[in-house]
Amino acid sequence: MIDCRGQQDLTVNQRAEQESVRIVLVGSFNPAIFHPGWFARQQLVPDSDAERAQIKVIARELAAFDLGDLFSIEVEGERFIAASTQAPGYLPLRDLVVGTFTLLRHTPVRFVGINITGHFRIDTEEAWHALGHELAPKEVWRECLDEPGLKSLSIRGNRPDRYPGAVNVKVEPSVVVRPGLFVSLNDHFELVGPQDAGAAVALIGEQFEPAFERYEKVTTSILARVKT
Amino acid sequence: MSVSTSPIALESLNRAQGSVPDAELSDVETENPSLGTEYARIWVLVGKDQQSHEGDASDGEATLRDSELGLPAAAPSSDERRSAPRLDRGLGAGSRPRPVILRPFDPRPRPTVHLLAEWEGVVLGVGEELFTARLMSRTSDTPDEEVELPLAEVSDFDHDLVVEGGIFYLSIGYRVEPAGQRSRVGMIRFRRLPAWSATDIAEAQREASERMKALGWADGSIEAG
Repeated sequence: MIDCRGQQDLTVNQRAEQESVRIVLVGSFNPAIFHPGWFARQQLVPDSDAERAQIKVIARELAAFDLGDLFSIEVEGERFIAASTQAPGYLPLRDLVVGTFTLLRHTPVRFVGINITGHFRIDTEEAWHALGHELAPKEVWRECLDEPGLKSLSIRGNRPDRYPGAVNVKVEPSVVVRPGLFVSLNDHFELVGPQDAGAAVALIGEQFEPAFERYEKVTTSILARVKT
Repeated sequence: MSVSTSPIALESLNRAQGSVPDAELSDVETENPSLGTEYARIWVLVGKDQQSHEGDASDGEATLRDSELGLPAAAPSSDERRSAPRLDRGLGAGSRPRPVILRPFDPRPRPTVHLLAEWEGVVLGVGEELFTARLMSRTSDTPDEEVELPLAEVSDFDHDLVVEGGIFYLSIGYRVEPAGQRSRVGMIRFRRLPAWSATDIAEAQREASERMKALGWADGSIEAG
């Protein structure tokens, strides 16, 4: 058996106290076909996940349900979202989306987003405010606002690869961890050429792990500025 | 009326209703969509042609203009009135736009699993009580290792997938309950991808054959595996 004694606790310090990963496809979908039973019949999840599914809505216009403990699914006419808030579910989430759209490979897909978010605890309120000032200096705002504070900061970067799209980062005060920071990375891809799910599947397979590397790089860079 | 749905962020709704004050940083409640779909996502039924999505299409968030929530807004110019989408279109004259909330998700905190280590494994052989696997760490730079794992560690629903070449993920971490209680957990989950159908295989063979022909390689014939 694997001996994990002595493994460093990866959740200490710069690890998020809560995280989520969402894979978003924008295209043309039929929400009504997405049902926990469908995923089980296609052997994309174990039967037990489908049996324990918590259905929130399944209608012609919208399907939303949890699959087992690891996944949640939301489908609208133009948007498919698969999400996991449990770290052991991230790779299976990728497989679930890849498997789903390997089966539905003729589905039109125009955009893909691999979105990762985290809530990070900051040790003191002083350090929390200092980080906010560093990320968004207040000099210009103090001339026109009383006690300006960082509420939400969005930064867009060019894609570092050959794909059209952007890397969008949002930073906000966390409402989950106090004092804490919420960081969101939207790895946004625009599909060119045949805009079908086949291209999206290939892209997700190739770019899922690099998206995590970008997220790690962004969060590490931001949190390195926390003054202790 | 053609009805479609659009998710909106709770913050957008709150802000539009004026219940979130503009305040200094420590007092601001912002929308953090990071708890997945359980947090702050509700649906409002709107006319299909009145949807207005802002932001990046693939960030999974969409917001509606305040006016689409039927809330007071600054008086538009006559040009704006002509071009602006109107929620009451199709609802009959005099209808007041009214969001219909289908079902708010449960915002209660749920247990989370924090990873200590994670490996991707491939099954090399299967015995009666153990299976042999090669593990590649995903959380450290340690070299691959070959291990024996008890079949009893595999969930019943994954037993059929424990075959030579099967891919699985082994995670070790601790589970944190909303109240803060921690317990060590380990999880093996096998990869599930849809099986190739005979049609898929035939289509792949046809495509490969066409590409070989295009490249001038032999006659493009390939043998079925």
